[in-house]
Amino acid sequence: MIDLNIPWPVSGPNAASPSDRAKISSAKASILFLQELGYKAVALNCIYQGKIPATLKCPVPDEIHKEFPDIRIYTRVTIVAEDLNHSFNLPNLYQQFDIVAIRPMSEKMLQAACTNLDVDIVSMDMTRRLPCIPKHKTIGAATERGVKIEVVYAPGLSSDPLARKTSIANNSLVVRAARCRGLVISSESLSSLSLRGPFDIMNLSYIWGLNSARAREAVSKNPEAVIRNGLLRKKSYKQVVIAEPEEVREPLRKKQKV
Amino acid sequence: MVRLKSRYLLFQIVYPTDTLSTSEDAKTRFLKIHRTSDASVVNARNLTQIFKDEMEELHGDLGAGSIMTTLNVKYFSPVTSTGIVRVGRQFLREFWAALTNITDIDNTPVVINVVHVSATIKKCEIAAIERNQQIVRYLQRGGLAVKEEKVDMSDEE
Repeated sequence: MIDLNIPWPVSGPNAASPSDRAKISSAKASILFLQELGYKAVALNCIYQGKIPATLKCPVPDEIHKEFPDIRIYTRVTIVAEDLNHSFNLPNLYQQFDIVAIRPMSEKMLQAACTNLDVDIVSMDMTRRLPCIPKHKTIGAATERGVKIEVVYAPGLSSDPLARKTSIANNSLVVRAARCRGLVISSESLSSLSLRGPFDIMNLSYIWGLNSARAREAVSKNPEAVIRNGLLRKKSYKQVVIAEPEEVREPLRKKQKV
Repeated sequence: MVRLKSRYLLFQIVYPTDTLSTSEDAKTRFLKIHRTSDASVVNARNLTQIFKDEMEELHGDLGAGSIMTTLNVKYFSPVTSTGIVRVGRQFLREFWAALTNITDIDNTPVVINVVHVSATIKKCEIAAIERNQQIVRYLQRGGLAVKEEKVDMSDEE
């Protein structure tokens, strides 16, 4: 059970401002709460608008893995992309983050993201009207390539009826366009108040039109594939060979014994 | 005439907070989330009403009407914040979605976590007892049991 979207504050030059610190502590509380709900892995999501500087560094500190020994933590970047001509410096992002996602804001961008760009996740902004009605041809191209489509549930849990309606409408559209395949369900929740248990989410996705087998895939198998793909790209040579220090390989060896 | 089939959901009310931190040990954190409920606010009768209201909010009159006769909170223990609710089998999915959509009870933020679904109340009861035993054992070990279990799970994957 994996949640690939816990927003992590992206600070500009004035790092560690009080509001950022509050956001970090609430993100950490969210991780602990997810752990209690039975999740095994989370990804911390850093969202950037538009152009990506070439020297971007991952804002998530390395110590975070030690701080949470009971849950696997990955880093993820989401590029909010409006213009195809912007350079996103993807090779740099591959080095800095485990998972690379894109949030297209126009139909052209969605088309490009699904067919060309080498990313792991295509994520749409579910809080607003979608830029276009997603077509099966576009989304299907993404699923064919192994790029997963993200569906987000936290905005649908707000008390505002309009936000709920928009979220349900958008999620159903995406689920329909994807024909239930190649989806990942994640939270995108700013506080631990709108996180839910994995089985509750599987059931919740029923109202978007997912059947239970596909829903289960969308919280377990598919996000796992995203993580594996991301790690292979980051650490391996041509996705074939991995050279790693001894201690990282430890779990693998255990598995062989069993 | 086919008999009326129903489903029993074992649910648990958990209290999310943004004050969890890694400096506390697992046991303290666990107890922070799994609080006892205030029996005057959260009891079987109020919960029935809350569930009905939420059902109406999410699924409208059609949803509220369809569960009106079958919905019944059979059991709720404020000490462990767990309960059993009965609902007609046809409307299980819709009703569960409504439970998931509940964000607060009387302005206290809550998350309702469905732990078990079964067709007889007896199986639900057994599941509840087993779960409570597990939790007690977990707390007696000071929150260590779950850690071992998690290592096993990651190996299997």
